[in-house]
Amino acid sequence: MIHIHQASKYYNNANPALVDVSFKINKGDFVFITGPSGAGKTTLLRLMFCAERPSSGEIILNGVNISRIKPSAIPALRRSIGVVFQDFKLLASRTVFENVAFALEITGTGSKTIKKKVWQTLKWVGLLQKKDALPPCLSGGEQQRVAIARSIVNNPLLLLADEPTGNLDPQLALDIMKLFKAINARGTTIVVATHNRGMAEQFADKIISLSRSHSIEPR
Amino acid sequence: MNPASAIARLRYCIASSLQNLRRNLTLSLITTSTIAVMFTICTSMLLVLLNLSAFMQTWADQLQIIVYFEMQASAKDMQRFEKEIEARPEVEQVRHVSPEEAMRLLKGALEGQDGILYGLPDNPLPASLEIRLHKPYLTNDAVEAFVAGITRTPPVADIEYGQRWLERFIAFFELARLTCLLLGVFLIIFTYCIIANTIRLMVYSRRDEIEIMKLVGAGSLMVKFPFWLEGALQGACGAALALLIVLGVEKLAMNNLATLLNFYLGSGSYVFLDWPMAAAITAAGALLGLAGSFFAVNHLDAHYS
Ligand SMILES: Nc1ncnc2c1ncn2[C@@H]1O[C@H](COP(=O)(O)OP(=O)(O)OP(=O)(O)O)[C@@H](O)[C@H]1O
Ligand SMILES: [Mg+2]
Repeated sequence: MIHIHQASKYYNNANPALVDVSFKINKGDFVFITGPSGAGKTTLLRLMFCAERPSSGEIILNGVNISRIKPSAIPALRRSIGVVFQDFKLLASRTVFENVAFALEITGTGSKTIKKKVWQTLKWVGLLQKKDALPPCLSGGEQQRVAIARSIVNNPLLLLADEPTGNLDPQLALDIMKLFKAINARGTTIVVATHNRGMAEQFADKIISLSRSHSIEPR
Repeated sequence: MNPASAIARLRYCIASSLQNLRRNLTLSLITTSTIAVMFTICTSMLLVLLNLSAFMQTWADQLQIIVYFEMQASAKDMQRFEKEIEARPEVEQVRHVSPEEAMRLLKGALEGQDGILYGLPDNPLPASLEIRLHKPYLTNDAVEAFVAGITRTPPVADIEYGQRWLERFIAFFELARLTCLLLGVFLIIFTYCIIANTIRLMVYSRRDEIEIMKLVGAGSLMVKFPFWLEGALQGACGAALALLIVLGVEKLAMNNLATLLNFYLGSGSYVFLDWPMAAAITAAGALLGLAGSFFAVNHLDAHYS
């Protein structure tokens, strides 16, 4: 499903963020990208949802070379990719329901369908009773589940998560990982970047280790 | 893109921009009132210019050359002279004004103050001839040429014509028009900047939302359209408000202005806002707002940070 071939990223010529990284991810995989801080995990994810262009190399997603994609084709691509961040990126002034509905509203989905899908998704992540709450009133774990609900509400093929449990205590982190596992079980390919090697070993089908911008042979 | 989805998106954009205007209510109100002030000035200038121009037209249409005859000129001489003048191709119409009629007109013009005329033994006014030229000859040069063609020998005593005054007035009008044009351009640029700046602030206040929109795959039109709407809406509201202000001032000052304008324009009708003009001004406001926001959000296209 994803084929990264000798991708490199230089933000400035002095220090490379990624050098010649190559790997393959199959459809339905649950993959972890690990490595110390500054190894290039975030950069690698950003290349995958076209927030950055690689300085060289190819990134092929479902047969499309997204490193050469036209800017006008990026929105459509992103609708097939869910993204989750360490800091949740929720809109503080909108309710849980509205935050999740947001991802559908911008695609021009009818309000009935939106209601149904958001309802289903919130139920699935276990937040239906909080649908009218504002994010600041929720715990970190709940906020991350809202963000996850938003990322999966339009059934993406691929879910990218950058340190999704970085702000959560170990028990909550475990809950979130179980949620990812359940999403993965429905067929969504998942790529999680984390420096928590232990968690990666517990959940991953496959681990890609980055060390100082280079990938170490995946296990 | 299917129609239902397009309508859903449009609905979303409209709701989004209205909500945004409400959230930044103070800023929107300040911007809209500033636009209203600008448009009040521009509309007033436009009306003044239109009225001056109408006044000028009336004046030009009424412009005539008056030939005064000598007091002792004989009726036969005057008639011969009038025939000669009438035969000239430039002339549209001539009218003989007898001393008696001239006196009557003078008394009418003095209206209530004609007592000063009572001490006069005889009528001191000469007979005269009012000459009106065809339209194409109502230029300074043509009038001068025509007048030069009239010999100032008996029975002609004197020739009077207002062309010079009209030319001066036209020069004044051109100056006024240029001044208004420059001021108008300045105000439009100013208004444009105000709107662009407001939209920039709105973009800033919504930067998180914009980031998330792009993240979940909103197209660039989807991101920018609400801001375009906000700009256009503020522009149109500002212009409409200006029209109401101008209308209010006109209603208040109607009585005083009507007398004044009747006196100068004669015809009693002055140019004021009509529906097409009001619609055009509102549309101009919307367009200006659209332009301001268009360039303020142009950079939101970028997907790569
Ligand atoms: N926008 C940027 N401009 C310049 N350099 C950058 C930028 N983003 C990342 N870098 C550099 O690229 C390298 C890799 O950064 P990246 O954020 O991908 O690491 P990471 O593995 O995600 O680290 P962490 O675990 O701390 O999140 C770092 O040296 C960083 O300083
Ligand atoms: Mg990172």
